[in-house]
Parts: sequence; C-alpha cells; structure tokens
Amino acid sequence: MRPLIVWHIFRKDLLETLRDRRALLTSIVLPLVIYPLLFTLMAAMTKSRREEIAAKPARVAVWGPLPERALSAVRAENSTLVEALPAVPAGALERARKAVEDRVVHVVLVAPGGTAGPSVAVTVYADSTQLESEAMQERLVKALRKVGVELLEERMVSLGQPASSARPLVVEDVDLADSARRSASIVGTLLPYMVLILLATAAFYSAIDLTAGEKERGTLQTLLTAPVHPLEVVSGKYLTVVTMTLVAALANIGSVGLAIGRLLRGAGAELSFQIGPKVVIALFLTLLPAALLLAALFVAVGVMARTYREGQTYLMPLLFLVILAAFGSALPGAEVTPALALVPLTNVTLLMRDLLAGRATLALGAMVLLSSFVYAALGMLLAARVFQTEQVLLSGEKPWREIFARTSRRRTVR
Amino acid sequence: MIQARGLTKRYGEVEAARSVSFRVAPGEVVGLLGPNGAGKTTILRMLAGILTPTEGEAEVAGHSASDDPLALKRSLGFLSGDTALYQRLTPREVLRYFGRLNGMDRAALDRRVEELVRSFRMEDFADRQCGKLSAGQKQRANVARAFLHDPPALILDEPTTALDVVTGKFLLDAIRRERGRGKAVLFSTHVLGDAEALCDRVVLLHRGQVLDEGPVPEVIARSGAHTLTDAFLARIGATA
Repeated sequence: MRPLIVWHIFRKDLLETLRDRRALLTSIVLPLVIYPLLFTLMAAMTKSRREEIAAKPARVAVWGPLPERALSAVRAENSTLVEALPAVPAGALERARKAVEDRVVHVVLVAPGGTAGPSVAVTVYADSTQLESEAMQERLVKALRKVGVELLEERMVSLGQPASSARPLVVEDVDLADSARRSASIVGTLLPYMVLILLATAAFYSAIDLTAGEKERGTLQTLLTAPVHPLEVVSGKYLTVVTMTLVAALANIGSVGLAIGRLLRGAGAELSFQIGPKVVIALFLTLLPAALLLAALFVAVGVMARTYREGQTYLMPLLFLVILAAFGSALPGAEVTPALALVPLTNVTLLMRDLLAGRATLALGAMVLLSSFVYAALGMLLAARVFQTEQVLLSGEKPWREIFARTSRRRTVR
Repeated sequence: MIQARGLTKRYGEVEAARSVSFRVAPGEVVGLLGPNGAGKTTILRMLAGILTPTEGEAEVAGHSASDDPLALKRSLGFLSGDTALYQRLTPREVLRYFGRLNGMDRAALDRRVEELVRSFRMEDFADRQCGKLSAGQKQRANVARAFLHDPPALILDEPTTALDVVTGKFLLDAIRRERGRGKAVLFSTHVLGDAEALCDRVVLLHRGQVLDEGPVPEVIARSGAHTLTDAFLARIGATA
C-alpha cells in the first residue's frame, strides 16, 4: 500500500464531501443551530412553566369536615376553595376523578371521619398525569403535614412535655455532591448517549456517499480503472469518513455541551458544569476508537449496496444497534465494569460517563480503549476484505457469500 | 499491445464470456461489436484489470492483469458508460487527481492538463463542477481523463452513446488522432456506422463467444452481406 496514493484519495474525497452543501448542512451546521435553540427553548419553557405553576392559585374541593387549622393552611397556600361539602358525597373517588379530569379543580381533599376524634384522616386526590394537579397535591400535602406536626406539638405541650417530643427522630438529608458533581452526573447521563448517536449519524452519511453513492454515480469504477489497489481506495475513503465523523461529532459535542450548560443554568438549580483539559483529552481519546470502528463498519456495509437508497437500508439496522449500545450509558447507575469494558460502543459511552462524573479508573479506562481499538482494527479488516471482493465493488450482488468465501475461492480485485 | 487469451468469466451457472481471444496491435482500432448481453463490458473489464477472469489471461503493453495489474492500468486509458466523473469536482480537478494517481510529476501534469483543456476545447467549462456540465461536456472531460497519462492502449466502451452529432464526431476524430500516434484502441459500440467508419478490424461477439474477426470488408464478404450491419445481423441470426 502506497501512503501517497491513500493521501491523494483522502484529499479528493474530503474535498468532494466538503463541497456537498446538503450533507454539511445536515451533519454540522444544522446541529450547531438546532441543539442550542432546542435546549434554550426547553430551559426557558421549563423555567417559565415552573414559575407559572408556583404563582397559580390551586383550585381545591373539600368534601367532609376538615379542621379549621387545616383549612387555613390550605388557603394560605394560594388556594381557592371551589367547592366545600359538609359530607363526603357518594361515589367520591369517581366524582373526584371526573372533577380533576375536567379541570374543574386541581385537587380534592376528602375527610370522611369528622373532626371530633384524636385523629383526622385526609385524602388528597390528584392526577399525576397533569403537571398542575400533581404540583398542587405536593404543595398541599406538605402544608397539611406541617399542620399535623404543629397540632401534635401543641398536644405534647398541653401534656407538659416539650414540643420537640412530638418529633422523637429528626431526620435530615444532606447531598454530599457539590453542584459541579451533580451537574456532571446529569451531563454524564445525557452527553455520551447523544455523542455516540451523533458520531454514528455523521459516519452514516459520509460512508454511504463515499461507497454506495459513488457506486451509483459510476465514479467508483472510474477510480478502479486507475492504477490503485483496492486497499488504497478503502484506506482513503476510511480516513475521510473518520475525519468527517470526528469533525461533525466535535462540532455537535460543542453545541450539545453548550446547550446543556445553558439548560442547567436555566433550570435555576444552582448547577454548574466545568471540565478540565485532561478530561477533554480523555474524552477525545475515548471517542477516537469509536469513530474508527463506526467508520469501518459503515464503509464495509455501505459498499455492499448498489445505490444510495440501498445503502441507507443496509446501514439503518446498524444505526439502531449503535443507538441500543449507546443507551447503556443512559441507564441509571450504569458504570464501567470489567465485563462491560469489553462490550463495543457501550463501553465507550460508559467510560465517557465515568470521566464526566470524575470516577473513571485507569485500569478500566485502559481496558475500554484497548478493546475498542481491537474492535476498530477488526472493523478495518472487514472493510478491507469487502473492498477486495470484485463482485461487491462492481455489482453488489450476493455480497456475503463472496466476502466470507475461503480465500482460494474468492475473486479479488487487484 | 492489447491481448485477450482465452478469456472466460463465469458467475455461477452463467457464462458471461467463453474463451475469448483476440489482439489489438499498435496503431490499430479494433471494434468489439455485439448486442446487449453479448459480454462486451465483461471482456473490457477483464482487459482493464478490474475483473478477474475465471480462465484465461488479459495483457496490455506486455503487462499481465494477473501478475502486475497496476502496470497494466498505467498502460491503459479506460472509458465506459460506467466510468463517470465526480459531480462536485471540476474537469481540471478530475484530471489533476487522476494524474496524481498515475504517478505523474507536478510540472508534467500541469502541462498535460492545459494541453488537454485546449485540445478538447474545455476552456469554457474546465473550472465548472462536473455536475453542472452537459452530457457532451462531461464526455469530453471523461475522454481527456482516459487520455491524460498518454497510455499506449485505449479501451473505449460505447463512448459515443447518447452524444450529440458534434461531440460524437469530435470523439471519433480524437480516436483517429490517437491511432495516428501509434496507440492501440479497442472500441465497443452499438453504432455500427461508427465502427465501419473507424475500425481497422472488428470482433463480432454473441453470447460471450467470438463469432467472427477480421478487417471490416472481409467480415462483410464472409457473411455475404453488403454492409457491416447486415453482416452483423446475419451472423447473429445464424446462431440465434
């Protein structure tokens, strides 16, 4: 194989790809605009909705006698008493469901037992599928529990006991993670998943265009008439797909990263997110074998197709597998283990998650990188074998039988 | 210069070419004639070193396709309906690219590209992307690509198909010039008038086999016909 010829093929393919305005728009420019726009809109909408709900009066129905203190607490929570019945009506559950579904009220407070006894049971009905109803329920339950504790404290005092004896066990929960780590955890769940899919999408389009697309346009055969070895052709194309994949992925990562940062700030949760240069380098190193593997697989499978459309059909199942593999990092609590370090692509997303969360270990990281480079090398071997099969390069019929036939029986392009 | 020796190509049960042998000498234009599916493209691809024969040997300028395919390709300019140009490159860029792949040095390549741009009258569109060119302009650029490295042998598969009269004539003139420069030209076409006007010899092909071969007047005489078209139809009719 002659590196100079590979370089010429790479340079030509890259130039042609960069002149494909539609592909550039889809894989680089559009994501640069879409993600920040999408996330900014989401942040703005989430914030404004939350503020809107907090400011909105809750429409409440009270069925049955409720202690005055409890009623006052409900009113104090910016609530409007839409309906107050002295007794619980028949079919209370169905009526409550209908009232909330019809949005007549947000919540229904049902107190069937009267106020005479030592304990008053109150049921707060709401619909968890309605954001407002659920938020009002949370607000009122909190207020009513507070009243319950206050009443108990008063009883303890009246019995000559200190008020604190009403709370024999005081429990407080403290999150040890600072805001940076909390942010990293959120980003670590979202970012690797999105990055791998973006990486695969970028590889998808450039691989189809440079393989099945070239075959359909008749330029692959033109190239094969020149004094070049198929291995040089596949290497040049492979390098182009890897380059385009990494460029598109980095542009997308930057865009998504900025957008997520904006989302975190917009969420008003006092979250911040910063990563150091070492982590950035480690993330890039982790992405590299993933890009190499995806490019090799997509080039190998793409060239089996005869047309661009057929290429999309062939590559779509592969894209779904990548999405499935990427999903691993989005699962709660998922992290790199020695076994998962060997699962292609999933290992990469999990390592990225660990890197972002600051809990990656050198041994497992090395295992992920090593296994990923081995998979990438196997992918490259597959692509090289496919490109040496003349039946695949010239027509695309019965590709698998030709490719995996024993070498002695296999016809190869020289 | 171009030699086919017992070329056979089988795809499973289907035999696309069966023991095809012929040769094209320097300064000679040979026409490979046959109906669709006769095996012309398969034979030309084997001769161009991009398809491996099941049996037999292809040779160009003394280079065997099996022993030294790259040397064979360097000795050959190949053009067919399946060899298109890159839509997003200009003809000048395409020529430079193929010159580099053929190992031409920069100065020689620049000179040759300008020479071809002038002689193929491509000045007006040499820097326009190929996707925006007319069929005739594309074909001129494609022929220039095949002639670029000044190979001693040319294989042209249906080069005049779908071309207007002016471009078709331009191309036939270019082939005559190359013959005059001592090039061996193998030329396949459906347009038998072109073959009759241009070819020194013809090879009639049907169902992957050579039916007849020789100078045009001899092939016509042997069939008892008056034109190459009649001779061709007579030979095919006799075996159909």
